[in-house]
Amino acid sequence: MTESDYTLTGHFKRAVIIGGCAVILVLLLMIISESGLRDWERFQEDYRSLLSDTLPDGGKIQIRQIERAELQLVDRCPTCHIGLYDSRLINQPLPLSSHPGDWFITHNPDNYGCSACHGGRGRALDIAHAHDTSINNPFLPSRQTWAYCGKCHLTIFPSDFSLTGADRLAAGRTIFLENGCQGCHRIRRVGGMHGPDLTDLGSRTLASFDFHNINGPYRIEIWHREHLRRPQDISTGSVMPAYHLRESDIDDLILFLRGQFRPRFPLRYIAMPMIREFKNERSEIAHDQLFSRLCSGCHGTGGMPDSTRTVPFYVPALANPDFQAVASRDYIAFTLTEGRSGRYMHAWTSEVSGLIASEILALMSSVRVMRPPGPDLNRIRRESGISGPGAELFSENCRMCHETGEGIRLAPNILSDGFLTLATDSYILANIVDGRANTAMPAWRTFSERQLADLLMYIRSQQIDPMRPLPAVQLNGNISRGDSLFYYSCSRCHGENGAGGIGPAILNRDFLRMTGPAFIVATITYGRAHSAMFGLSGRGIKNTAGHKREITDIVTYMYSRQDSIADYIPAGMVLGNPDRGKSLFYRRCTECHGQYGEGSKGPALNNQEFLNAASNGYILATISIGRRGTRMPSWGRGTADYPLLTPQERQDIVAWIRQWQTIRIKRDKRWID
Amino acid sequence: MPSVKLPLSALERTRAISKNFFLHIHSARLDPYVLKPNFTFGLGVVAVSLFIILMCSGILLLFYYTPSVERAYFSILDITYVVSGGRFLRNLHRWSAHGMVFITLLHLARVFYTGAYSRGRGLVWYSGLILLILVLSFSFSGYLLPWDQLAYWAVTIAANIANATRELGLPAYIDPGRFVKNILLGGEQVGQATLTRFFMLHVVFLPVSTLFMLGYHFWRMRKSDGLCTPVQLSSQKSEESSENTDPDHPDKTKWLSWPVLIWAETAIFVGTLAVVLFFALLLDAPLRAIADPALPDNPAKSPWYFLGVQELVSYSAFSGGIVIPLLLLTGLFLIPVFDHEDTAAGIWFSGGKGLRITLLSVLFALPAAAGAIAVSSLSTAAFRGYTFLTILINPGTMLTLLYVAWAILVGKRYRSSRFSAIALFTVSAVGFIVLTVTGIWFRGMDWQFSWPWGV
Amino acid sequence: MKRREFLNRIAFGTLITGGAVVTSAVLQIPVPQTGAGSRRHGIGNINQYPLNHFTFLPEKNIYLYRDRKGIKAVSAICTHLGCILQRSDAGFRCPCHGSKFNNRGEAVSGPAIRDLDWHSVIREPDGRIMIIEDISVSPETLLEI
Repeated sequence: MTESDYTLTGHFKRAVIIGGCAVILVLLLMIISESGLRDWERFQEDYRSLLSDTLPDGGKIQIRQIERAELQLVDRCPTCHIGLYDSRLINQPLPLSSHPGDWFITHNPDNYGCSACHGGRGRALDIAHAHDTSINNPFLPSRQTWAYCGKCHLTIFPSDFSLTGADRLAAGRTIFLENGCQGCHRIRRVGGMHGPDLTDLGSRTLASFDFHNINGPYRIEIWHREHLRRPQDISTGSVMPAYHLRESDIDDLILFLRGQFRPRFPLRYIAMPMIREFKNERSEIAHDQLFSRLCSGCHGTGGMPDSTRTVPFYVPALANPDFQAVASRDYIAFTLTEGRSGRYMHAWTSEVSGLIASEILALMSSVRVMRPPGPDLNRIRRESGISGPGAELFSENCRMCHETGEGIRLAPNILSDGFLTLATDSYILANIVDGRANTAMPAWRTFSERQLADLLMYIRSQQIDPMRPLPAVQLNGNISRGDSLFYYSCSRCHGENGAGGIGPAILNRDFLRMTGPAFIVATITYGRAHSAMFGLSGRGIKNTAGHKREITDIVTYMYSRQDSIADYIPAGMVLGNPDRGKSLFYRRCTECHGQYGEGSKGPALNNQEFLNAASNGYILATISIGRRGTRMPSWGRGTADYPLLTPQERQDIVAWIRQWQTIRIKRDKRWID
Repeated sequence: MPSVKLPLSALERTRAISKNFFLHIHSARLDPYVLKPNFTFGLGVVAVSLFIILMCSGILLLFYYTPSVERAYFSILDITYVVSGGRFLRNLHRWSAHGMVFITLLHLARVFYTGAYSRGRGLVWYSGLILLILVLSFSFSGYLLPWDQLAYWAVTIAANIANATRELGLPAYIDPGRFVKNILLGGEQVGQATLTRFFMLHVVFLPVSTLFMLGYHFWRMRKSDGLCTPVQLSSQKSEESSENTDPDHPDKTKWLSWPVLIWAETAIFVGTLAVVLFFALLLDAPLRAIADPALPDNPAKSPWYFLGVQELVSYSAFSGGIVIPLLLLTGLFLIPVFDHEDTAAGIWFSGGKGLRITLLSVLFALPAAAGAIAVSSLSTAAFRGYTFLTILINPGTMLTLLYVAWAILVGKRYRSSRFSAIALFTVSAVGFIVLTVTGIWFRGMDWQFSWPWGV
Repeated sequence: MKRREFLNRIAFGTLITGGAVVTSAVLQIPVPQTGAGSRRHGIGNINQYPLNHFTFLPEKNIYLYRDRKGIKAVSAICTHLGCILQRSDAGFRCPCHGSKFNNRGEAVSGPAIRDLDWHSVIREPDGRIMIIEDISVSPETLLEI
């Protein structure tokens, strides 16, 4: 060995000494930081000195844990929260204080652990990791702990919900249900499709939320708050309106949202009503709550959209009296159950929405019920009416279709004797106020008693001959003969399925219900003078028994069809000229409805579901009477900016619109009552 | 108490070295040159030290870890929070693992640049390359074991890279990538089968293989006269026969392994231990939320040493994930085959000229790689539907061609296979480093370019 | 000598053959029997799929599109590296490397260059509607309903 050997070895030996010392130092630091200096050991020391008492469970300073294998949790919370069970420490600061309230009576930690209700990382032993808010099952601060009641207790479908001590959770639930959130957000299989399914929202981790457009701290609560305040900024592509809720309402709503959980614990931990909801045995939604739960988010509370919380797409106001006047039950049912392709209104059938049949039918009724009730017809006395104002009302509202002058008539002449000598007052009033479904006769509900009396007076004043008696009719004719007679004699004018054409719709349910066989028999017998309805009497045609039998057959046939439901909503005959209608449309309608009816400021008219739901009469009536409160003018009346369209012009436009229909959609008979 | 008599005379010391089971991997005497710190930087010894540390910390972790998808994550939590010193143990294991990969790569570079694969040391080089593959496998298999989001998606992405042959649209039964992916994952997706396999690999197969390979690596080195030192010294050796371990006929120009080498290795071991312990004390190994197959990471990144490959893969799956890495590996394996010049073996960069070539290559490779990354953000709309065109023409292949051209140029200019090898190795290394750095810090959501300090 | 040599050869040959057989058997063991799951998928009641909408079928990684004319099914697996696609405004996008596809399944941008696979949708004799993954069809092939 040379001198340099020893020098080099010396270098290495020195290196070993330094390195070894470093190793020892680091290990010492590790040991120190792990013994006696840890927070939980301090807390247990504090407990001991506070109560000059031994510690629970044997008195040693040690890790204390609750293990619940079936809940898959190991909670070491009592290690720091050493005073958890000890009621003597109720006034101490955290973490020594005992658990507030009497929760332990019903939710003993030995059975439930701690993190089931409070969240957090039960296995951790320092506060930062134990109270971690970014993990699955994040820790919730005490003002939000109520959210986790939802893991076992929350039910969505009953009308009300109360849970001892969880008032704010219940309040949040009410806010959710009242604002129509379920209309876009599915929960527990029921709801709409445009927003994400919220059934398990509470278990979503922090990483699954998109914070790109949020500047605040990275916490789930912040995301929810910002999202509820301005959803379209937070979620790109969202059409959710801002609801402008109060801050306290937002707090409660966030509790509700974070309380959405699938049952994950063994079933004996979960409240029975919640189990039932997940087993598809839920309670039926109260019928009066259906609209507010499911529809009011887009269509507004009570069917009138709220201008402060609009969605960025066109939504019809369902409670608009003019809409309600023209929309038949068939129209509403069809739109509800078929939806509108390419629009946000999707089909609300059981498979898509999770509603059961009775709920869907109840929804239809809720929409129908928005129709103004109108005055009590029994209190209207014609004698109290004055003809002059009645005439004005008639010119203003009725003449646009029931034109009495020359030119095409869109509706029967109700000022003719042929009609008036057979029609009773109550019949006329019923027609005015109930309209005729799927025809162009709207249900006029906005007239007052006075106005109706005036109108009635005026109409009657046009009658010349006295009332004719209605014959007695028995519906005992031969239906199949009546069928072929109807086909050969009546359908040319009244449409193949009696859906209307040159003559009014006579196989229309409303018509048959209101009119009665006697009136029909009389009309067929006498005809209507000055119209295409020829009668079988007068002009030398004898009213023979054979004719009487034929008429009875026809009327029996008609009433046999009263309850039959056609596969398709009857559109009625197209009587206008589509080419003329096309140029009229281009000149008058494209400003709002788009060049091809695709809609811009106004709704899309070329939508196939719309065209299948709307009969020609619906379209004609809408054009004629307009829609108050919207930009749709009444083309039958005309305004300064939008001069009126003649009946022929309106028929032509309807014909043009009807050209856009390319498919026929069969009605789903489950939803017709 | 039995007295341990330390050997003192030269004879006793050489005998101790050659007769002791553990010590006889060393030669009795060693060339002083090998202990110069700026010759080897002790990288090999650091690697072995890290390996020992990893083995020991790994065995300790094995007391508590459970390789089941329900329990793995929670067992890691328990190790971290409850086991005495568990947090530090886990940190130690993690940082040693990262260090191991890093040091192995540095060691590879050192061996290459000193030309220590030549002069009959080809098998040492090959066994070293196999060890590199084993180390990468070790790190990759261990990466999955915590079963958190980081682990799960890293392995998913890396397995998908292996499956890059799907781009060719081959039928299932002859698709090698698909086969490799299925073997790795034990199924179509990362799941319990994957965890079991990776655990078996990490804890049984790879340690055994590595120990075996290490033994062979050392033995081969011994057979080749120890570390490769520059020629002028070995000309002295050539007079004597090859390594003289005979304690009765010592070569007195060399140093005794005991005590010099023993102390050197001890110093390096203790130093390494100190450094990794220091890291273990200060930095916590990451643990994110528990693995959730329904919640993909975005961006989902494979472990850092695979991010260069992942970056290449984002240009073209097949060429970037399979062709180029295979080319790299093959190139490494073939270096001793193509480079027969061994006159400058043992000298860093084979001399001043080599150093110049290295620096020039770095200067060439950096902008080329940056350019490739910039080009990658251009639209590939023109290539729509032409699969083979994209496989052939993409920033990865273009860069490869550029680098190969450079190496050929250098080789022709200097008429030396060694300099050509140096050029090729340097540009490849620099390119790979740039791609890896980009993958680590410059790729954000949807693998879009983003600055590392946030927007 | 001949016999010894002969015996040597036989013994050696047996060893080699046995070794080869054992090796090939052993090598089979790690190969997973990927119960890759059935490649034929029933979709259940067609009415549960909303109209004019791509519905994601999670277990099968398929997007199902239904409109008034019929149904079609497209693979949700990105042709680049096999990540699962998400919907975007104009089609699909891949979260792994940002590949984008349009509603026809054509690769529009990003590293993916092959278009998405469309799957065959058939009606079985018993009336059930099935998606067959093994059969690829031309893009947007529709089963009329």
